[in-house]
Formats: sequence, C-alpha cells, structure tokens
Amino acid sequence: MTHMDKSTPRGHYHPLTLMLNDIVSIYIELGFEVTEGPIVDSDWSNFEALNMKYGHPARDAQDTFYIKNKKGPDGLPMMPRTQLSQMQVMYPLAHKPPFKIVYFGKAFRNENMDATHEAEHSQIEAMVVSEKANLGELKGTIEHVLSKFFGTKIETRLRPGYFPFVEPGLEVDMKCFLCKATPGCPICKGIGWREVVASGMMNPIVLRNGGVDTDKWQGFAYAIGWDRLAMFKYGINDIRLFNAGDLRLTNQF
Amino acid sequence: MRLIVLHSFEIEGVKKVGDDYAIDIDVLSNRGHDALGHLGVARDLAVILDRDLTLPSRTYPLADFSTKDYITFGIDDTELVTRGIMRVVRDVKVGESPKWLADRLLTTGQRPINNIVDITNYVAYESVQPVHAYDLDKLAGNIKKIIVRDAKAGEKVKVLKGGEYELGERMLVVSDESHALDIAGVMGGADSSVDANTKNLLVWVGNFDPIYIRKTRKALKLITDATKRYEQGISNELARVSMDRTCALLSELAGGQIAKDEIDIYPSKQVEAVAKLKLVQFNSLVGVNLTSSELEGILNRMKRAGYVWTKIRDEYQIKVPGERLDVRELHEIVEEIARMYGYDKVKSKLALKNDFTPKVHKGFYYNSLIKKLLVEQLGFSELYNYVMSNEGELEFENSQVEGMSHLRSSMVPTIERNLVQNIKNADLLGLDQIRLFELNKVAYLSGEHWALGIGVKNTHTWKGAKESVMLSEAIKNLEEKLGSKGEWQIMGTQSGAIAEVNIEKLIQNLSTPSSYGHVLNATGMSKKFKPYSQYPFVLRDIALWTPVGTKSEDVEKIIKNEGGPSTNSGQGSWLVQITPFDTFTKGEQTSHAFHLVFQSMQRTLTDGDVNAVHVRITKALNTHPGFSVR
Repeated sequence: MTHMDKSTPRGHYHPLTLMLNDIVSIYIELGFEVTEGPIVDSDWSNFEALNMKYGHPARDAQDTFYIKNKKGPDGLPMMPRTQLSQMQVMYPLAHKPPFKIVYFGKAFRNENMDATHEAEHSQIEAMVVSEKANLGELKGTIEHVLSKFFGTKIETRLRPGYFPFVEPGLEVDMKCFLCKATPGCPICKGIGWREVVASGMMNPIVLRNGGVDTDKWQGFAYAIGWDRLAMFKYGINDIRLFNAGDLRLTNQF
Repeated sequence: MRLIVLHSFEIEGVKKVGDDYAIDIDVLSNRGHDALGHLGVARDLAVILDRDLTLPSRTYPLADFSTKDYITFGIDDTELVTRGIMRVVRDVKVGESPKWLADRLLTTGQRPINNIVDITNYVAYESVQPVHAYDLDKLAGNIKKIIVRDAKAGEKVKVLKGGEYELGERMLVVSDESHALDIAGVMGGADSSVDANTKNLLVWVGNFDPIYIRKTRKALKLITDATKRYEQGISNELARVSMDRTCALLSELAGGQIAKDEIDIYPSKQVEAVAKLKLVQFNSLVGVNLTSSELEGILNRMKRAGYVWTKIRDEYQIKVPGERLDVRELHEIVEEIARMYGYDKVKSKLALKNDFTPKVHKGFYYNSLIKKLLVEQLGFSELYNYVMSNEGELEFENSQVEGMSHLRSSMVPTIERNLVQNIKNADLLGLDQIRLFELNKVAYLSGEHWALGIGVKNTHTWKGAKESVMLSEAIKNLEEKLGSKGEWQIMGTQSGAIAEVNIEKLIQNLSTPSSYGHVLNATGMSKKFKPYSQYPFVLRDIALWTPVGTKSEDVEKIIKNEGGPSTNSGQGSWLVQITPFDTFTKGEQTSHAFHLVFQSMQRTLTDGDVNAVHVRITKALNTHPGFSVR
C-alpha cells in the first residue's frame, strides 16, 4: 500500500514560509544566528526593560492584550508580545557580545482588522551588538538584505522615527523599484518611497538591562514587517489573507 | 516639506485653506514636548535652514494693580501639579478677533469664538502650553480664594463643551470657595467662562504630571486639545513663556490691563539639562567622520533652537533648551545632531565583522525540515492561522477583536476549521483530497510550545485510502524520515482525520546539525499572487470520445479557448480550473472526462451563463474529427 508514492502530488508552502526561507538565508550568509523568544511575555521584557516604563502610552489596553489568568514573575499580567524586541534583552542576558542575531514570529496588537491592519502580524527583527555597530552599518545591512530579497539594487533613506528601545530612532524607506513615483503605484502610492523598516541604535538603557557594558559595546536593531513586505513582494492586497487558513492562497505558491 | 520629512517628521498631508496652507505633521511621540506647537517645528526648520527665527512678542505694559489684590492661590498636590501661574488682567474688550488671528485658527481647523478665547487657543497651538482664562467676576468671593485640589467624591463639573462630568478620586479641579470651576488640565468649566460681557480675567497656566492627565482623560473619556498636549509631558518652563505671550496678546488685541505681578507656584524648578558628547562618540555611533569644526558648525546652527555649547578639552557640553525634555543622554544628543546633520549624508556600509560564530537553532532547523518533508514528500500544504482564538487556557481581559478572546492551547480546533473551509474549495483547487498542516505555537497556563497540526479530508471523488489510514501513513513516514517518534493526538471527526504533536518533544532526542543544509531551499523569489474571486463557483463535468491516443492536454487546450463568457467581454476567462478525472480506452476510442470549474471575479454566475459556455465548448470539441461529447 503506497499512497505516498511518486504519484502523490507535491504540497505547497505558505508564502510567508517561502519568504522567511529567502530572508533568513540572506542573514545566515551574513553570519547572523537565528534565535527565538516566547510569544507569551512578561511585563518586564515586553515593556519595562525596553524603556517603556509604567505609564508609557504603548502599554495602553487599546494596544495590548492582557492575559487575565497568567501573571509573570513580577506579579503583573502577562501578554502576547506586542513586538519581538524582547530578544534585545533576553539574548544578551544569556550570551556575551559581540553577536548578530535574527528572530521572527508573530506580534499581537489589540486593534480591529482591515485590509491593512492585522491584530496578529508577522515580523522579522535583527540585532547587532559590536564595538562599532553604527547607523552606516545599519543602513548597509538593511540595503543588502532588501536588495538580495527583491533581486535588484534597493536604495533606502533614513528618516527620524521614535521607538522607546532605540535612540537615535529611524524609519527606513525603500526607494520604489516598480515605478518612478507614479500615482497609484501599489508599492509607493506615487510617493516614490515606501516605509518598510523600523530601526535605530539600541538605547543604552536597553543594553544595560540586558547586562551589556555600554562603555564597550553598542548595537543596532531593526524590524521588518514580514507580512507587509510579503504583500508587495507577491502582490497580495489584503494582509488578513495570510492568517486565513485558506488553500486558495497557499496553493498559488 | 522634504526637509521636514528628512530631518524631523512625517507629513500626513497638505491642505490649502484660503490663502494659507495647513501642513499636517505626524509629530513623533517623543517630540510632543515641543513640536505640538508651531514654534517647535519652526525651531527645527531654523536649524535645518540656518535661518533666523523671529520669535513672537512677549512684552506688554504693566498696570499698577497686583494680582494679589484680587485672588489668593494655592496648590494642594505639587507632585501632580508641577507648576501653576495665575495673573489678573482687567478691563478687556471682548469682541471678534482680528482677521489674521481668526484666519490662523481656521487654517488649523479651529472655530474662532471671541478674541479672548481665541488668544488662549492660539497660544497653545503656538507654544504647546495650554492656557485658560476665567471670567474673574464670575468667581465667588471678594478676594477669590483659588485652589487646585482633589475632587470630592461625586463632585460634578459643567464643562465648556457642554455636559456635566462626575469626578472620581484623584482627579483634580481648580476651585473657588464655592465649587469646582473646571477639570484641571482637561477642560475649562462652563460657569466661569468668558462671554460677551466679560470685563476682567484670571489667566491660568498650569503644568501636570502626564500620567495623571492620561488616567483622568481615560476615566472620563474626554480627549481635548489640552490633554493631548499635557499627556506628552510639557516643560514647566513653558508656563512662563506662554503666560507672557498670552498677556502680550491680551494687551495688544483686547486692551487688557495686565497686573504688575502674578502668583507663580513652582516648587521644584526644572534643572537645566546639559548633554555631554565627544566627537569620537558621535562619529562612532553614526558611522561618519566629521571633523570637530564640522560638528561645531552643526552645534552653531542648533543655537537657533536655543542650544548653547562649550567645549572643555575634547568634551562638548551642550545646554538643552528647556522645552526639550527628550534630550538628556548621549544617544539623545547624538540623534539631535545627526538629524540636523542629515541622515541622507550617512553612507551605507556592510562591514559587519566576523567576530561571532553563529550556531544553528535546533528548533528552527527541525521546524523547517518538517515543513519540507510534509510539503515536498508527503503532499501536504501549509496554512497559517491565528494563534488567538475563542478558546484556550489563556484568556484576555480586554480583547477588542471579535473572536479573539484567548490564545489557543491546541491545534485541533484550528485544523478542523481549516478542513471544513477548504473542502468547499476542493473542486476550485482541482483537488480530490485536502491535505493540510500548520506548524506554529500553542500556549497554555504552564507555558507554550511549537506544535504541528495536520488534517486530511477526502472528497466524494477520492478513490484512495480512508482518511485515517492516509493520516497514519503520513505520520509514520514523517517519523521515519525524521528518525524520531512523537506522542500524537489523533482523532477522526466529521470534518476529517486530524493529528497534533508537540514538535519540541518530537525532536528532543535528535541532534543539532552543524548547518542548515537544504532545509531553507524552497524559495518564493519569482512568485506572484493572483487575487481569487469572492463569488461562488459552479462545477460542471464534461466527457467525450476521442480518437485513440488523443492526449488529455490537447483536449484541455480546446476547452480553455472557449472558457470565457464571450469573445470580447473583457472579463477574462470564467473557466478557472480543469481537472481530468477519468480516462480509458475502448477499441479505437479514448474517453476523457473533466471537472470544469467556472467562476467570475465580478459577480455570481447564473446557470444560464455557464450553460452558454458549456454549449460553446461542446460545439468546439465536436468540430474536431473523431471527437464526440457524450
């Protein structure tokens, strides 16, 4: 009895898995280590250690799901992580610098969903801690990863941004490779640039919370919207399709 | 505008209002202290452009009476109210604002009311710091005893926008002897407000603990221009600036007589911040090679925004302007200087040193391997689902998202739902069996783990083994290829056969390889998605005799040519799937049978639509020698 013989049709990968394979392979080639953190996080590593102290607006219930029946070691309610940046303290607490790491998975936001808003969105974050990690390397690394991923040279521009765990904080826009700022372009909407990465130099407060000696080491970190980038890589117009459990999506890949 | 985007903030939009333009700036949340006022943005621009900034006038003549002739003033809790200034202004003439002021308010989306109210609103937009003016004569007593105090339990305040709010514990009010006048820091009260008959004013500028403001506006569900600003944290120093600017405008535009003094309660004065920086630190963090004179050039430009610097040996000591509560530490002054230098001048470098030996992540390696085996060897297709669910051990206390009140503790309900949903599309997908899986997290009270859920469901046309047999075959195959056995939860349901396993346990005794090998090879590099229709599809079968040896593909080609609604409709083909399901040869003839699936992107197809196409396909097939549709 051989149902699984050569006549078994091949199955299909989900597009986010294909994209992850492609992106992670680029990072591995650059010497990054893959790591991961838990999806259920404590107040300390999701907020406090990341320079979002008690009273910080990001802690608002309209952004964060709080778990009713599970408390962390600090006695505070736990939550599904609101971003992946927990690793900015978790990894250094367990490893000595220098390091280059990449980690990915789902982050959770307590917000209603539509074609461009997802309560459970997928992200890929990378972090480098070394003696001389700097904004030039940050820009260079991001451009390298995006260029390899899109198979064409990608230019980026840095703009001021604000995230409590990085300082300076930067938004990274990717120069549209589809059009020359044509109105109605699905990628850049005619602006010529598309915001793809949230980034910055690691805030020394965060590094110290991870037990890193900030007189010697400095770092940068950045997050790419895994699903958002997949949307324009593959031309998917609704972010909710990814988590919909629908073979009409998967079987096209 | 480009300069604002590159050096300061994102721009949401630009609108022409009358002869003016309103630029909608998305002020970053660490810049609310200064940039929620027009002057903050102007200071950035003065530095970026290296141009003079003309500050608005803050001078005014003093009358000979004293504020203390009219009021006493106290603050009960100076932890929550960090500064309060009260000043009396007499003999104002209430009327319409001059055109320039009314126009500016209109441009920023505000409605001009009268010159007094307009001045206080305008000053807040200019400087960030909210200002309020009471009608002095509406306050109780001869000498008005004004105090900022805790609200009494159940105390009510009628507010300016209309309506009455009942206050709770730890909310603050500004009060006279008789009652609470307003909700401090949130909104002015109705019964002390300025009207057409107002003669004398009590001008009030206060600063508050931002957390107090946020809690209060949330408890009251009352968001105002004032709470938006106070929530960001405003420098106590701005109270001074804003009081003076208000008095100058009241004097100039409303003929107000400004008291010769004020009552200023300011117990812990804001300490002047000095940020320290060495050139080498700036260059190291930003990744540039500025000379000290280049750095000093930028610091000199920053003087236009109120920065003052000196150099002591190789260290720059930079006094930060009072309103910039966000600039204290090394990284913060580096950001400030780098913004003004221009991030566009930072050159890309890919010079990451190989001073680190990465390890293979065991969990990720095996997750990827298991996916590869399932997809490429066992014919399963991968789905992603929500980890959030309407059931599970972990429950949220505050979900705003429908159907997402828990984190799932098991894959089984998800996989069951996936089978039910996807079997409906089996014909559309050209499948006679649904084989799917998800590899993702489950979470519960004692922890979380990576889990694999797999499901099999046959359609009525499936001729192979039973679902449960297929599933156990797949599990056996997977375990053999992995070289490890797991504890599977297996069940047969109405919706199909389902299994779940804890992957972390399944791989626990396997070793970690030294490289990822081929497990990440499957690529999406050249893939594109085609949107699928939201409308139902229609299934029709067609069977025909053909001369012996006729290939299925050749028949399909003829069918596809005729699949559209009509030749020139521009709607594209309705025939979205052709699946051969039966082929046999009898004598000189070969029989072919196909499932044809019709669906439109634009609408629900009727029987009539599909019949018409079916007739054309039949006609086209029958014109071929030896073809005969049955």
